This record gives sequence, structure tokens and C-alpha cells, in this order.
Amino acid sequence: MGSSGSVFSEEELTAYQDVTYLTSQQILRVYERFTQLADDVGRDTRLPKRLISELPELRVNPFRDRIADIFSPDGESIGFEDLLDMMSVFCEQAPPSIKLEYAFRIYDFDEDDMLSEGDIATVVRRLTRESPLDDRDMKQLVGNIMKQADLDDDGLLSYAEFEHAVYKAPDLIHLFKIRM
Amino acid sequence: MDDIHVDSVSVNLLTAAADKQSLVRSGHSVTDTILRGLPSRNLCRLESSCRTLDSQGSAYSTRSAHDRRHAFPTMRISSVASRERRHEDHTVDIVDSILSTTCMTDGTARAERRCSEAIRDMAMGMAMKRSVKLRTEARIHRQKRGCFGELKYSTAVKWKRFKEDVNNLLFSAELWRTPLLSVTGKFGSGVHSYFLFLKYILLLNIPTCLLLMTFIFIPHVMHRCTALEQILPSQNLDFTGLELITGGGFLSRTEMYQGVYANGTVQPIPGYNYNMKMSYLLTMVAYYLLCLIVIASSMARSYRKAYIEKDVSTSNAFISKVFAGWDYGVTSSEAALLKQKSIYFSLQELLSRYRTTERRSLLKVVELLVWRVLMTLLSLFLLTCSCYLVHLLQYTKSLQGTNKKLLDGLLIPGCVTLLNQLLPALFTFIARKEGYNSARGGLILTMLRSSTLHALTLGTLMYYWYRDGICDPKKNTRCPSCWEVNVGKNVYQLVIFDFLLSLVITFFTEFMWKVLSSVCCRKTMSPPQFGIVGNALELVHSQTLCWLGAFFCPVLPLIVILKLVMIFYIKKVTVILFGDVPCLQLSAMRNCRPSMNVWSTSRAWAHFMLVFFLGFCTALCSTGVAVFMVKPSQGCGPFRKQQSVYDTVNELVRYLMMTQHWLGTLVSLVTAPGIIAGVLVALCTVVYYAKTLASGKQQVVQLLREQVMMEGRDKTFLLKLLQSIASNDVSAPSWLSCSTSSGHADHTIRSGFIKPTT
Repeated sequence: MGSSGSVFSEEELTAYQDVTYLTSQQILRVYERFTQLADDVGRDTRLPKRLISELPELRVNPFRDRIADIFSPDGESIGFEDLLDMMSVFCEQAPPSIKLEYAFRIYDFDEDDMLSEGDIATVVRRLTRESPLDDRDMKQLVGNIMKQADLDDDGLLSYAEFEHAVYKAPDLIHLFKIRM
Repeated sequence: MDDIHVDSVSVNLLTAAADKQSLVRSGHSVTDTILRGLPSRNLCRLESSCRTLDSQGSAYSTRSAHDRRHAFPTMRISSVASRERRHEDHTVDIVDSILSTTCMTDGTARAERRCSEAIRDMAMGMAMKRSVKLRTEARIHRQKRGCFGELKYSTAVKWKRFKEDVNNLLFSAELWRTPLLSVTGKFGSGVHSYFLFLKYILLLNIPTCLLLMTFIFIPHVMHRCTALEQILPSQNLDFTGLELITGGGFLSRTEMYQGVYANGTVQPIPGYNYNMKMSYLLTMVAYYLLCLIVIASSMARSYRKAYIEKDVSTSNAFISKVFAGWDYGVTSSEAALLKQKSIYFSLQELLSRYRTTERRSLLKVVELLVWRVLMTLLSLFLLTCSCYLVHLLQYTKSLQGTNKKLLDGLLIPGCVTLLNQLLPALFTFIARKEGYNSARGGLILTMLRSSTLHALTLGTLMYYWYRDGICDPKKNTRCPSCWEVNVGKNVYQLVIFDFLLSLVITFFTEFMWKVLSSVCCRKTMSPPQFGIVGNALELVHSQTLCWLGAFFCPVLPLIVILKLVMIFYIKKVTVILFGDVPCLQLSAMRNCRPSMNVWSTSRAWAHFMLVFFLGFCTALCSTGVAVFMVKPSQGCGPFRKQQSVYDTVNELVRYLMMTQHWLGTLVSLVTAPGIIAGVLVALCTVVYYAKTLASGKQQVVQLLREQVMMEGRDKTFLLKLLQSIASNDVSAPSWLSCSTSSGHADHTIRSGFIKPTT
């Protein structure tokens, strides 16, 4: 960690701390991991997003491609600050509201800002990849979720409905953490 | 957890669901544009939330960080909108809405902090946050602050920086970060919660142990040094390793036990008087009080997180499983595979339970009930048996008198520890056979039964130990000279035995399984699971012993700290070495249903805390009995020659009355039983009030839910109407006359209808 300490000045670290939920140690750690992803990486390098999916913390995550998509602003590459954004959302200190927001975006596969039945079905398929559910079960599962969560009954889950349904689930906040 | 109930309101809407879906996705341009422009989809809630904060005024600063964040919902920029509009427009929008909220722009440090926190809480990329921040700061009209205002502002900024630095320091000193990361990566959050619990207990013990050391142990040692007494007695200094296990021998004459402490003033540094007796009692009171405060607040916090904020009645098992099912902390592929399979199995189980509508045949219900009653009786029988066994052993020992043989002395602690280690495993097995619907019910029952077992065995032991203290030398010639030291020794032996036995059992079971699986029966036998419940209960038990014995053996917390550190490394090794066999075959998977997957982490923590608190209460009660009712021995201890330990308090009050009258009156008031009873009654009233408030709010939530559903129906109705108008279908569609409730509304709409302009 010796060299990375001199890469950031005090003001830069404080500025990063103001916009993320990370402490300065965590920011330096993230930088260290970023530089290890490829050769000759500096602060302004932009790496292809598939390298982020190769991070050991994300390698076995079924949603790693969605995570990489969300945090890369141009859809192709990820820079150091994007990685910081990602770690900030997934860190321990981030509030539940931010985590819920990004969980919603991760699950929104067709990116129309609403969770449709197709989105939910894709989520279930990703979760049970090795042993998929048969069609009847899938339909019943998705139907039950919609019935319980879709309050205004338009067949889509808006963010408010998603937040209301999942905020009460005891675990999302605890499990939605990636520690580095 | 049986919350797959079908909402009665939504059943009626089932039939129209398909119809409505087609309406929404019809691609009809009018409805699409309107839907996208709806304010609920372009949410900007900053103004309203700020208004509520303003009305509450000073309540802002006293709210916890959690409350504050929930009151400040993020300003959402939907991903659709962000694609269609420019970056610049967005920034301008956000800056405008921030500047329109006065609570963030009045130039004080607090306003700036709110502003920066609101920006940080927004779900945007860093570049955008930075541009918003720059623009806001450029446009904020800084009020002229006078001298005093400047001072306040600069102190507030410095304080914020200081708090951040302290936070950073605490994070860098995070204990055991790397081992915990590797364990979580392989096993998920359930096992992680066990290790967090261990860390919590360790961090609780360290300052309390420090308290005892500074105020009791060290002054007395210094006193004996300066008084030129030998710390270790010259005679009987035959140190065999056995003293470490029995705690006897020369150790009984050291500061390890209560017996050697002087009962008057001592002089740790020549010239300074130090009242050992008062200090002993007051430090012990402070120790238990500190533990009580920390545990009670943790328990309250975890209960709130697990049960109150997570509304059990509206949560749905399917939703939790699908959206909150994946553990993002898992990093090894075997654990990921295991997690996927367990999600699959839980979903299958939930679906099958949902399909067979919970109408079990009467016969099955009766059978289950009978079985459960039998199992409960069996566990009660086991409890009584173990209690009786302990009683029998103690009775025979007391009849024998002072035991000469070493093994006799160690028989009781060995037996008690064996019972406390093995019976919980038996209880887990029984609970599994009872066939509870949710595994959580069975686990709670196991925890309760094991805690009762611990309490009963310890209670029986304490009864006999204290009986030595009440022994009357005139009637019984075999009274021990210093019963406090004996109690301390016994507790020490229990702690050591507990540790050794858990070591032996862990290695034995893991080793035997490895041997057996390599030799035969690999497919049918399931690997030993890291039983989170069993291990957590062991931790609670060892900490209860620590609290029990702290009054008689002030060094016990230090020993327990060492024990916890060793347990951490041992468990980590066994979990990683022996517990990582992946259960890949389907048949093994069924047996392999790991307890770790059943635990929902926040509830796990709440349960641990509850059992922990119960253990603390048990220990406190027994120490209370010793303090109030048992006569201290005549020849040893800081309370010698008194009627009870509580007399010291009366002595203190008398002394204070003479020197500082008001303090004496205060102390006597605080310790009066009437006041304490009154405080308890007041607390109960507060709890009752809070509970009624909570249930009232829950009813309001239900009403609002139904209201939202009705609004949804209204929205669909209006959209359909709009669509029919837009497509110039003036003749009344059939569905308009269907809904009877809207009969009246339907007239008014048609009468006030504006002709469509073509």
C-alpha cells in the first residue's frame, strides 16, 4: 500500500469520502485492487467491463454482468471512479435506500425502469441456474410475486412498489454487501 | 414465516389482470406519453421530506443516522429518463430542487452537511454528483455570518473532519478482517454472523476486564509489593500443570480469587489510601451495570431491526427468496453452487406448500400434536434427569467431605460440561423430528431448551456452593474456611473444562467423519455441518459462566478473553478444513440442508442477543443471591466479618451522610426497593404504550395499502377512458356500465365530456 498512498492527495481522498460511503482505507484498498486487474494501470485507465466481472468478489455472482453494465457509464469500460461507486453502494455503511435503488436497477434486465414479469423470471432463472424450475412453477412463482407486490395492479413493479415489498424482507440489506 | 396468505383484495383483481397488462403495454402513443410523464415515475421527494424535517426542527440532530436517511429518500432519476435527456438538464434539475429546499441553503454548517449528504445519497455516478455539488456550491447564497457564526461554522467543520478521522481509524483497526472475509466467502452470511457474535463478545469483555484489572487486581498487587509481602507464597509452590486445570494449589492464595483481598484500606502507593472493600463492591457493580447497558441496548436495537422494521405480516416468502435470496458476500464457486441449490429447494418447498392449501387432514394434525407433546415431555424428562444427576453428584461429594483424590474433584465439572455440550445436540435432533413448518420454530425451541438446561445445571451447582457459605460452624464441623475461593475455583474449572471438551468434541467428530467417509459410506452420510445454533449457545454458556464467576474470581474475564481468541482460530480452521465438502449430489443435498441457509441474518442476531441477555440475567440473579443472602466467610475476602456483602452499602451511606449529606441521601434513595419497583413499573408502562402505538400504525399501513390498490383501479379506469376517447370511440364501451360503484361517476364524465377535436 505504500505507493498508492502517494497517488492521492489529502484533498482528493476527502473529496472521494464526501461523495461515497467509503473510508480512506477502503478507497486505497479499492485502488490497489484496480491496479492489479491488468498491467500498467493508472488512475485514468479505463478497463473493459469483462475484467470487472473477473474480480474474485464478483466471479460467482449470477448478476455480475448486470452489475458491470450499471456501473459503466458508456456501457463498455469501467474506470477507477466507477469501481469506487460500485464499492460504495455495496459497502457496509451505505444506507438501505441506496442498496434498494441499485438492487432494483440490477434486476431490471430490460432497462425500462419497471420490473416486468420477464425481468422477475430472468432473476429466478439466474438464481437457480443449475437446476431450472419448470414452466408451471415459474408462472406460479412470478404470479404470486406480482400479486403480492404490485399494488396499483398494472402488471409492472415500479420502484416504489419494489421498495415497499423488499424493504420489509429481513435480509436484502445484510446480504447486499461486497467486502473487499 | 407462514406468510403466503392470499390477499383478499387482490383476488378480485385477478380476472382483470391480463386485460390491464395489455392496456399498459399496448404501445398506444397517448397512454405511453402520459404514463411516462406521470410525476410518480419522475420522483422528486426532496421538498416534502425537507418540510417534515423543518417542522420537527431540532429533532433532526437527535435522530439516528438510520432515521435520517430514511427521511431523506433519494432523488430518483429513472434510467429511461436519463437516456432521453441530457446530462446538463439533469444536473440543472437536481440543483434547482436542492436550492428550493430552504433547510439546505441557509448557510449554516448543518445545512451544508445536509446538502452534501443529500447529494451523496443520490443514486448517480460520481461524475454527476461532483458536478451537482460544484453547481450547488457556486449558486448557494452564503449568508453573512457574524464573528460568532464564523466560529460556529469552523468548529462544526473541524468536528466533522475529526469524526471522519476517528471513523477511519476504527475501520483500519478492524479485528480479524481477512479471516472473516475468507470464511464468509466460502460459507455465506450465516456462519459470518456466528463469528461476528464471537467478536462482539470479545469486544464486550475487553473494556470490562480492563475495569476489573485497574480497580481491583492491580492496586492489591501493588499493595502487596510495597508491603514487601511475597506475591507467591513460599511454601507449597509445587507448580505442576494441574493447577491450571483445577485452579487450586498455590493459585488459591493469589489475587485470582476473592479470598486474599484485604478488607480495609490498603496503600498501593505509599502514602495514598485506597479502600479495598468499597472499591471491590463498587467496581463489581460498575462491571455488571456496564454489561447490562451494552447488552440491553444491543438487544433492543437488534429486536427493532429484526421484528419491528421488518414487518412480518406483509413480507412474502417468495419475494424474500427471489429478490433478497442471493448472498453477495459469497466468493467461492462451491458455496455459490450450494446457494443456488438451496434457493432451488426452498422455492420448490414454498411452491408445494402453497399448492397444497394448508388443509391437512384432522388425523395428521392430531398425530403431529401428539408427537410434539411427546417430544416436549421427552426434553423435560432429559432436563430433570440432568438436574437430578448433578444434584446426586454434589450430594455424595458433600457427604464425603474434603476429597483427597484429584479425580473426584474433577468429576462434577467434567460431568456438567459433558451434559451441557451433548444435550443441545440431542435437542436439535428432537426439534427436527417435531416437524415444524418453518425450521426457525424448531431452532427457537432448541435454543430455549438448551438455555433452560444451562440455567438448571448452574442453578443446582450454585445452590450447593452457596450452601457451604451458609454452613454454621457450630452444627457442622466440616465447614470450609473460605467458601468464596471454592466457588471461584469451581467456576474456573467449569470454564476450562468447557473449553477443553469443545476442542475434543470438534476434532473428534470431524476426524471420525473424515475417516469414515474415506473408508466407506460416503454417499449416504452427510458431512458434519457447522451448527451455528450449537456453537452460538456454547459461546453464550461460556460468557454466562464468566459473569457468574467474576464476583468471586476477578481474573476470570481475562481468561475468557484468551479462550475466545483461541476458539476463534480453532473454529476458523475446522470450518475451512473440514466443512468445505460440497454437497453436489442431490441425495446428499437433502441431508446436507445446512442450518446456515435457514438463518436469516438479522433474525439470527436478534435470537443470539435474546439468549445472551437471558444468560446475563441468570448470572446476575445468582450473584445477587450471593450479595444479599449469603454470609461472607469470617477469615478471608474483602467482606469478612460482615453479615452480608450488602452491609458495605449501608456503611458507605453512613460515611457519606457524615461527609456529604446530599450524596448519602441520594445513594440511600437509589438503593431503596420502593424506588426500584416504581422505576420498573414506569418502564413497563412505556413498553406497553409503545406496543399499542406500533399496532395502531400497522393498521394504518393496511388501510393505506388498500387505498393504493383502489387508486390503481382508478388509474386503469381513466386510462381506458382516455384511450377510447383518443381513438374516437364515443359510443360507451361495455365495461363502463359494468362497475356499479362508478355508476354515478360515469354520468358526470359523460355529461361534462369535451368533444374530441379531430
